[in-house]
Amino acid sequence: MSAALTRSGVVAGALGGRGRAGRTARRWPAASVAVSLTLLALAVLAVLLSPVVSEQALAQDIMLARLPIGTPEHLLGTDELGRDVLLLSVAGSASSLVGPFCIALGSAVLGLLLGSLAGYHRGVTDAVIGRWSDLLLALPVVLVAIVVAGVFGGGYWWTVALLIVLFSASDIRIVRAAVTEQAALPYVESAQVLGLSSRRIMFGHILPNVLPLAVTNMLLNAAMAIVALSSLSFLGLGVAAGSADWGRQLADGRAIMADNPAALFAPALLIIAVACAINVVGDWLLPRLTIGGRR
Amino acid sequence: MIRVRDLSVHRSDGAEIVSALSFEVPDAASLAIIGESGSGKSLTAKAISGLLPEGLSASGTITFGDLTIDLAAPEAEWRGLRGGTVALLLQDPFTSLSPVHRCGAQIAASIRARGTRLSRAELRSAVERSLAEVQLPARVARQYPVELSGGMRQRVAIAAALAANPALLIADEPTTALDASTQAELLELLGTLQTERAMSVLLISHDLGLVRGRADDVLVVYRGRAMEFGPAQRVLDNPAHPYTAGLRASEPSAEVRLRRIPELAALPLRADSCASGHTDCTPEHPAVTTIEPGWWVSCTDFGGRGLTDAETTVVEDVPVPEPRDVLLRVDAACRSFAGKQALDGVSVVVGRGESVGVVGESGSGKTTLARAVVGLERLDSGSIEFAPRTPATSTGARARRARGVRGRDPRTVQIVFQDPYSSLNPAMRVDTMLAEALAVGKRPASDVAELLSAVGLPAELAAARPHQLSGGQRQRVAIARALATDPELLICDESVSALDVSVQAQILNLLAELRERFGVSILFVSHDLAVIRQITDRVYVMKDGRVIESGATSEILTSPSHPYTRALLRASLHEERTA
Repeated sequence: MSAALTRSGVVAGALGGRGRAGRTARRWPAASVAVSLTLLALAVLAVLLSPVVSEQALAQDIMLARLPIGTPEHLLGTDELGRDVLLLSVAGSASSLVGPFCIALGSAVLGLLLGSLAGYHRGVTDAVIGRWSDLLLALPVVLVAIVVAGVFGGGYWWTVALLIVLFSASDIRIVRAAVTEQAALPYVESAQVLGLSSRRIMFGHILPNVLPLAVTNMLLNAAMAIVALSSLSFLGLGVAAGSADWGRQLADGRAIMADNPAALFAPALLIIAVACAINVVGDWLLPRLTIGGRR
Repeated sequence: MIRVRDLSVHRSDGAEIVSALSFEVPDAASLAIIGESGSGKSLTAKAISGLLPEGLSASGTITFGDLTIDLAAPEAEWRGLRGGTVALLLQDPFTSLSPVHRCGAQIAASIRARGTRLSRAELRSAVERSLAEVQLPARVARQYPVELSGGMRQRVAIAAALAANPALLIADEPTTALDASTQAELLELLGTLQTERAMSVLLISHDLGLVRGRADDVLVVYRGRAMEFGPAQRVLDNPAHPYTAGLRASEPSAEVRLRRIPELAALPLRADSCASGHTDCTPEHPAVTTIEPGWWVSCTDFGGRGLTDAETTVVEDVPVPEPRDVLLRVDAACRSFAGKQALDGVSVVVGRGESVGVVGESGSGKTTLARAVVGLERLDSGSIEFAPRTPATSTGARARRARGVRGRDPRTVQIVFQDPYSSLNPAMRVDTMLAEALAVGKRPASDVAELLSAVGLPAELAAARPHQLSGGQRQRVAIARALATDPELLICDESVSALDVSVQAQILNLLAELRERFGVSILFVSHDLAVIRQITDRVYVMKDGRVIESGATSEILTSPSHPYTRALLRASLHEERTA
């Protein structure tokens, strides 16, 4: 008997996934959630401040170029054009964060719309929307961005619009899967028997139940969009040269890494920190958004 | 001998859900725990296997031979104990197996849990032996759970649970999700395995028939407290505690129809002093009276409630003629799914004001029929016609908007589903839900309160969301929603099968009341002959997509002419009375 007791292992099949052991949702320690929320609050503050500081931040003074980190009055030093890295980073937050936020929000809306239609109606609608999202996923982002820049002359908001469309593919797929699952449930059938319109059932009944998933994916997308938009700016496809933007700073900072490493690392760390914070908050938020803590 | 001492379960706010249960299961014997949902019987099972959900904590001990385990032990300590000592068999074979692993791998996982190192070939033959033990062919090892029937899946779950050689098998409603005949086979199998392995079984069930037939001892719990303990058959035939008696009375019978099924009223738990004059009698530890060795009952100071006249009045069997005023006529309905004929020329008639039953096992096509009537399923051939009192106007935007699925008028027919958990939108408040349904019937949202009171719910629940309601309350909301459009026909698709006997009795009585009050006709689909007996006047018996017998419920269930009906009835009565 006692020999049997020391044996390890769980009867996975028979025990099912109900117990403590089976609960796999990732739990972030409260401290990291608090830090992430603080970071995001600071990021929002920076975005609000950026129009105020941008004039001063963009003022060039070649005489002050490439001051190293720790210089009095220029804590993070200056870049090649003599602009203060700290101020530039605050000013750059708007273009680095507002765009990604629009991308995440826009693609979530597109995803909810198309994903609901595909998941609820199935059939031809589903096939068309499904192939459309396949197509979007197959497109190489940078290549398309170059083409769009070539055709429409580029620019920040064109890039944002392009990324909204490209990012919507993952939203469409996630929402479609969730809606398909919900659509087979008796509560949806009850609504159908009541003769409610499919628009009402899709957006009034099913949508609130898939929204938590869409919101979480939106936050994930926001993090990815920050990186994507920064990469495009780094390549010169997003914002114009010389503007305040973390991706742009990253590209320009490479050249003066030896003189002032902060010109490169400040925007890089900001991108990583904000992206991570958004992910942690997203994970923390999902179970809280789910009504009644459903399974 | 397995002993559980002072098992308590507490919520994180300190509230006690299970209070100081103590019981023992002798080797190779079985103990059943019975009670309503919310009585704490499932939590007891989870506490013993160390699987309490988050926010709950256990205290007490469990003793296997010379080893005593503290039930408050943290997860890490439990991990080594499960499988080898305690295995858990859950109700639903559809969710208890992993859908992405082959059955063989899932059994192999628990064989490996025994710790002995096995070669690949040895493991394979061990899996085959496990499968053979539960009477499954070796090919099942290579199959995924989705490829198997419910009964076969539950056999795989049993094989996985037993592969680690547990000393105690906890079976939490192991057959509730299955058909009567599959249920009987599985119980037979569990019985055989138990004797062969000299394993103890803790059976958690609300099915008194099953407990009477399968368990040696029974422990009756109410609100987490032990009410009565003793030999299963004798306790259930001759309950000493009013609560046990109440549980028994609320079980419907297939033999006689009662005017009203006895409902189990909430028992007031004695507050402070014991009027019976027991010394040392507190609500937490009520005094225990021994009736005979091995049979005791806790202080019954709160007394029981006598049965009312309606609850003992047997409804006279009167001949029921075919209805003349026909509301629904299903004619030669056919429907097949992937080559399987779910409906094969089914003709059913429901008269105005009638209550008609459709009975059969799963796969008989009864649910397809119910769904086809409300339009959730299309027919390959045949017709479904309604003769509503007020024919809907066929033109105009308003009329079109009030159209349900496949042209059904939502004001003619509505449906109540089986599972009260998925049939209400978790994101919607009760009043929003009902107001929306009322609007379809062109009734004002202010009728919500009236609707709630019609189904016996307090008006305060209007602002509640489904997760705040109990199973019985949810089913009442589902009924209220169906009635909101003033339908002439209400389809009940196994609407009480997922509920405990006591809640089932309440819902059946409610349906009977509503039928009388609103004159709504009912088409009640069920696998349960006793439920059909209590609620319907006429019945259709279905098998393999065909109606094999029909007529007055009292006649069919007293003297069935078809051998299949006879077999169904035998299975149901057998379960109810003996074994």
